[in-house]
Amino acid sequence: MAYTKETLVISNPSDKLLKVVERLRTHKRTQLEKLRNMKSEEFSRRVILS
Amino acid sequence: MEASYSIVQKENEYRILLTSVNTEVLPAHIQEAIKSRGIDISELIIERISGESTTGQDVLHDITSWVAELFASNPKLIIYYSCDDITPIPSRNEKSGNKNMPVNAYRSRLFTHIFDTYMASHQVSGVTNTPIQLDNYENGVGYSLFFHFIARDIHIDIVEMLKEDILEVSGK
Repeated sequence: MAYTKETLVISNPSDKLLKVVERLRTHKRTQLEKLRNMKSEEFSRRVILS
Repeated sequence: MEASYSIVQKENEYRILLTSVNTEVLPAHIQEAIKSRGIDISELIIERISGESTTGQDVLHDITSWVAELFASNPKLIIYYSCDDITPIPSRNEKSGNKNMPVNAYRSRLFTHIFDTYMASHQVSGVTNTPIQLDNYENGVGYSLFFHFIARDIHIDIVEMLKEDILEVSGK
């Protein structure tokens, strides 16, 4: 059974699309920074694996 | 939605965040479709905070289970995952032809592998992984970007609308 669709490949995306992607990447960097700075008690779930 | 998870295993700490995507950047007709059906598109972000050991199957299993639980308990959730090349992968498995693969391509392949394995082993149906790859090369020089949408089949039309919009914006 196929759970994953065939990859949509877009070659040479337009500048407009790349600008949107750059905004998404900037947002992701912000979220990564947020994750790095979160205090342990702020997580909705925490686990320590042995 | 907003949910976060911290996994610590010895010196390694992984942090995972599921956070709502700002859909206001999308065209009005897609925003309307999302809003009218109460769809929540959330981005999955996974980050290693410390440690350089190879990530074990138990950690991957734990992350997958947490995400799957959230997905199952939120019937209108669509997960968006962009495979980043912002952070490296320390101690990654380079035995099987992965050696020269960019980190985001590696993450994309791993993401699909984990998704397919989970779906098969838990006998889940009606959920689909839609990968999108942007190849931005000129004269053989450039980079690729990889994205995934995980959606229930009843929401696949929303993913199709997003795909069509990406194609349109890209002039394809």
